[in-house]
Amino acid sequence: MNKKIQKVMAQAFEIPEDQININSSLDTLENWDSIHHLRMIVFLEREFDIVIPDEKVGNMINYKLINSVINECINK
Amino acid sequence: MERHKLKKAIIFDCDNTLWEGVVGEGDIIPDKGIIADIKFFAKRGVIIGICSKNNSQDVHQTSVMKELNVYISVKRINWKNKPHNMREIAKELNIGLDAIVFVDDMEFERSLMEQQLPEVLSIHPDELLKTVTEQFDLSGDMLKTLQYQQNYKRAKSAESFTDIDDFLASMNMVLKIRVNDESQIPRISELTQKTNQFNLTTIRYTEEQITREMGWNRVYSLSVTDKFGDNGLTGVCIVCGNFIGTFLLSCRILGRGIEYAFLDWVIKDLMKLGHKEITGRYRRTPKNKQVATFYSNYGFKKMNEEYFPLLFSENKYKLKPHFQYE
Repeated sequence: MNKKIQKVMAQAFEIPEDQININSSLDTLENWDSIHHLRMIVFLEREFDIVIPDEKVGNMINYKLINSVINECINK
Repeated sequence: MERHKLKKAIIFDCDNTLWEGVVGEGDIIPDKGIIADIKFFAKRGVIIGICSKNNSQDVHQTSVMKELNVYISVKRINWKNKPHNMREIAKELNIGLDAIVFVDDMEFERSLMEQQLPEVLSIHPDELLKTVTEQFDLSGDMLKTLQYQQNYKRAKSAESFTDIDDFLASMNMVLKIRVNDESQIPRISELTQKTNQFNLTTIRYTEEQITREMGWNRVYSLSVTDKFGDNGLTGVCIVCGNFIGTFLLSCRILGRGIEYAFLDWVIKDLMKLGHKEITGRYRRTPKNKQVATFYSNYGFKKMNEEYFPLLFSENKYKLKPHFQYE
């Protein structure tokens, strides 16, 4: 698991890091709503110094999808 | 958001895609990752199908297929060529070939598909996550396209303000509050049915019940516009005599203090009508913990966990100057 993503997700959703795992998704985290989602996007962009394309933002709704988009952005 | 046409369905090969190995020719090892992904995508509205060259019976006897069966909408498991099967699949699903993603580990099968049916997007299993983030819309209700776009811009512009008050003041927020507006009955009822988190009592109303409340009581409805656009009707408050029976806000406009501005407007309206006091009610549910202190935060007294009275003569709340009313 990517520790930086784990840290950012914990920050964004206001829960301890150990409650984020590779199966975390908007189905498993209670307060994953649109506001927290956008907080996470902004935090991820800051942490990794990337710009996440708009069309991908709505699809980053579980850890694996987030990880995939981040890797795409970093390797560009 | 302008973008290319979104895909609707993912059609999977089986051997060395859903599992490692060839079924019917020895043991297979399920790929737990891809199986979890398929379930997740299916729950978010992606159509899932199978197109593989195997004995149908062999595939159906696997633990993988037993687990995935309820998520799969269409299957072609036979020895015909895959483009032929794919045409049938598109027909059966009643979608265009250009709405289909085909996942196969074998380059031969992908090349054949690309040659015969170039409209279908053919990918290797390793490209699945990347493709889904680019070609589908999984966001569904949580982030309806327009709202998401507006909120996204909002979150982005929040970065350039260090002081949240500066940010809020720059948003040009206008609160439109209406009392007993019959044209909004369907949306008001819908909000009482759908809102779980910022909902003080979580009482559900049908349209008929809202109509009746408007006859007897005061049903306040709130719409919010800001410099990025109109958020639509996003708040409801129902006051019965001296009692706030319902107070709710859609979560997409939270985090800006709108909840207090809305409550403040309602209280001032009641004062104009000659009321001297009001009592708010908080009915705890598994999902509405975040509003347990809402009335206290505004300045209501706490009688017990459920009831919060406020004498208007003792109201000290000072509205932040971020809002205009219309």
